[in-house]
Amino acid sequence: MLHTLHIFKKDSRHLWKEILVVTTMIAAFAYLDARSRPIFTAYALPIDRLDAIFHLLLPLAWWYLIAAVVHEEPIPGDRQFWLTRPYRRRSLLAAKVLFVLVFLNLPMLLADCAILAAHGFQAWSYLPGLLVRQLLLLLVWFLPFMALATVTENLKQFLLLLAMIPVLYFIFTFVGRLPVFYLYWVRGEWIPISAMIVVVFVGTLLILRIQYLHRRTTLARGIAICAVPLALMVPSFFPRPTAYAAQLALTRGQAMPPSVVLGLDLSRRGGQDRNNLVTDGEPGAVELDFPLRATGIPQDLDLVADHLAVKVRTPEGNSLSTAGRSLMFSDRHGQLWMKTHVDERAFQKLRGTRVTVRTSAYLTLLGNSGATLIPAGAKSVEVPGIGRCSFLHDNTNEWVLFCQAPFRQPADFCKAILVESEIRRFNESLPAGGSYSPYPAELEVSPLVLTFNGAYGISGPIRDALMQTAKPLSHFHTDFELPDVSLRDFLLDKQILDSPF
Amino acid sequence: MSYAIKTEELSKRYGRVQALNGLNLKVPEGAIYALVGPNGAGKTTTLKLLMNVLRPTSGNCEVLGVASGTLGYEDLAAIGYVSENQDVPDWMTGRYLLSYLRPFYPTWDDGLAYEIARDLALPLDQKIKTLSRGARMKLAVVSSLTYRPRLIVLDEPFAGLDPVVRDQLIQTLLQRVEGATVVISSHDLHDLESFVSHVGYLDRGRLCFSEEISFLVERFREVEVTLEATPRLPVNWPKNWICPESSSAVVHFIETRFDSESTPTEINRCFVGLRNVSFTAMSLRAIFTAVARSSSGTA
Repeated sequence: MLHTLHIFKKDSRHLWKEILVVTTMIAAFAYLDARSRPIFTAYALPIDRLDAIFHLLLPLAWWYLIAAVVHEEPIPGDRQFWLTRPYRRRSLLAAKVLFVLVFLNLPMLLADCAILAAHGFQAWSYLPGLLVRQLLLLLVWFLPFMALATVTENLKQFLLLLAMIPVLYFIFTFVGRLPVFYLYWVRGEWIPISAMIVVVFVGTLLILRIQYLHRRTTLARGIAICAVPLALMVPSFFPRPTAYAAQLALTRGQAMPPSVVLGLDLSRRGGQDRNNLVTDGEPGAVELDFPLRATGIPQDLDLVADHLAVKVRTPEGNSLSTAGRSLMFSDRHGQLWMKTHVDERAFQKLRGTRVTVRTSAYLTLLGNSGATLIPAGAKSVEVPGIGRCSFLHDNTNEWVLFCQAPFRQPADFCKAILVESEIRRFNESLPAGGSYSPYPAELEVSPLVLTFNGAYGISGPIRDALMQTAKPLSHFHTDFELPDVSLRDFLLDKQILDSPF
Repeated sequence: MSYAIKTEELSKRYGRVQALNGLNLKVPEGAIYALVGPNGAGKTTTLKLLMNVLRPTSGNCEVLGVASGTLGYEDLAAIGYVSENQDVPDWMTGRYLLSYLRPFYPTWDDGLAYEIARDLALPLDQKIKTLSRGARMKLAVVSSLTYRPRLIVLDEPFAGLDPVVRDQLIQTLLQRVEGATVVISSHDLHDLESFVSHVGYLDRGRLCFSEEISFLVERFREVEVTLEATPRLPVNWPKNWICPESSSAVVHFIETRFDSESTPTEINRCFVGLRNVSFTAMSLRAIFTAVARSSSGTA
């Protein structure tokens, strides 16, 4: 402990200018974040834009300070004075971690409290979130970069290594045509993100241990080369059925699974007959919309689909997987739909054939609904389960409704209905929010999480917005079949039928 | 005899370059050992392997009875290491460096530190980056002597220093080591020959010899053989005769295993028409020059 403090004091003394710069940046970030609102419209104020820039700059400042303190005693090389001095290696590592705790975690903790207070949240009411956020900052934002700094000899090398991360990300997502991932903690996404955190944590632990206890830079660099791409890929490639099966297993016994039965609603037609739905195109695929009927849903409860795996089975017994993500949702009249995509060539082959559509669905029942009225022009109205919401008129004819909560996406789902004209968020009635994460905090740079946002270009008078909320009550899994159907009956764009295929 | 340093078949390879090749070195406790050799011979590599700064490609080395690879902080607290090419935190002042290092050494003696610094006229309140090369080396020596280490390893400590500073450092070392083992590497024996007890010669990663200086001086002789006619060098030239040269009726060579009885007998056996043989003792510098010429193949 004595050596730890001794090395820590030396580092603090030498790096006081760097500490001052980073602390000032954290203070500026706190100031801006306390006064700004989320930047999601084209009409953001300069302070909002500056705050958004700070969300990018602040991590760079953190990493710079981390690299500086690690490079006080660089690990690679054979000229460092400390290698031949009786340094306890564990004390050296502990001194570096202590430095991060004192000069990054502590200021961030204070900044978090200030930001929350400015937005009307009592920080101490969110103590678990406050502490877990600091832990996540340490484990995901700070220590992994400390590990990367230990495999470099100087700041220049560290910055080069750092620059490789977005390059890798770019290669994976754009050149490799892999799905782009966002760390968006809705539904069961906390499970793939947790897997990523585990990869990052294990990689970090191994590198720090190897470097500080054994000084094996080549091995540590090898681990970094494997761990960084793996961590970047995990959220995209983690099999969602596995994630939702795990979610189901974790929450089994919390509530009785309902006996919901899903099937084709024969009273409605598919495709273009669906009501005012927004489509999201899959390249090279056609969209099919199946009208569904659900029975067995207890009264006053709603159903949301967390994950659907849809397969089309031909009479010959061949199975065709659908493309992209399949969705289940209710339209504005409360009618249930399942949207899926099929490869266009496959569709052309099958369009006249009677097939069976098999779906494996992970579903969640929502209940205990609530509603809160947010008057037009209101700032920071508390919506239980969602956070604090503001409904503001921009400097154009744009109404902006957004909600923020400390540290994490709320467990509750929500949707907004504008009084005078009903408008729901993005994909019509898909509710926002709804995170099943057990963590009280997420990985955002800011302690405030945007739990709802909507921008409405409405020229007419608006009185209020009604924020409807519902709690996830139980998760369950069901398989259902739509037997003996012709895919052409459910095609969204009928012009496809005239294509030369 | 117990050894402060012991290596067995120690080798180090940097890619294709074999920096050290099967080094077997023993440094007795209490010795002042000079590890000499030309630039690139592997001296610094050897010392870094001993200090566990580098990891060997193969072989073993022990320092103060501990395998170098497992040297812990307790072991390092008994070893002083001074190197001309070590990166010290040059933002510190000398005084701050000494106060910073103090808690790491249980046997640190502040009084001794300041006494040595005063003897060396070391400006302690200047930042290290503003110090001259000589002053930096003095500070490194001060910071490595003030905890009374059992082993002091000095890697080219006098390279590039003026004679005054060099003599100051040598005097300080001799006064303060008090029975400790000292290993000094240098490419110039002139710096060391006045005070070292043992010497090892390293060339291209191989140890050519390693022994006490008195034995070394005893076994090397410059031999001049005068013959009746132009000499024909013997076909079976003994391996221990190096650097042979001949002109008219005279042959010169260096006998590396001189013995007052066996060497004249061997010369008598090898040369025909012998008129006169003379043996001249050699200085250390002459010995090393001869060994260097011999091992580089120029002789």
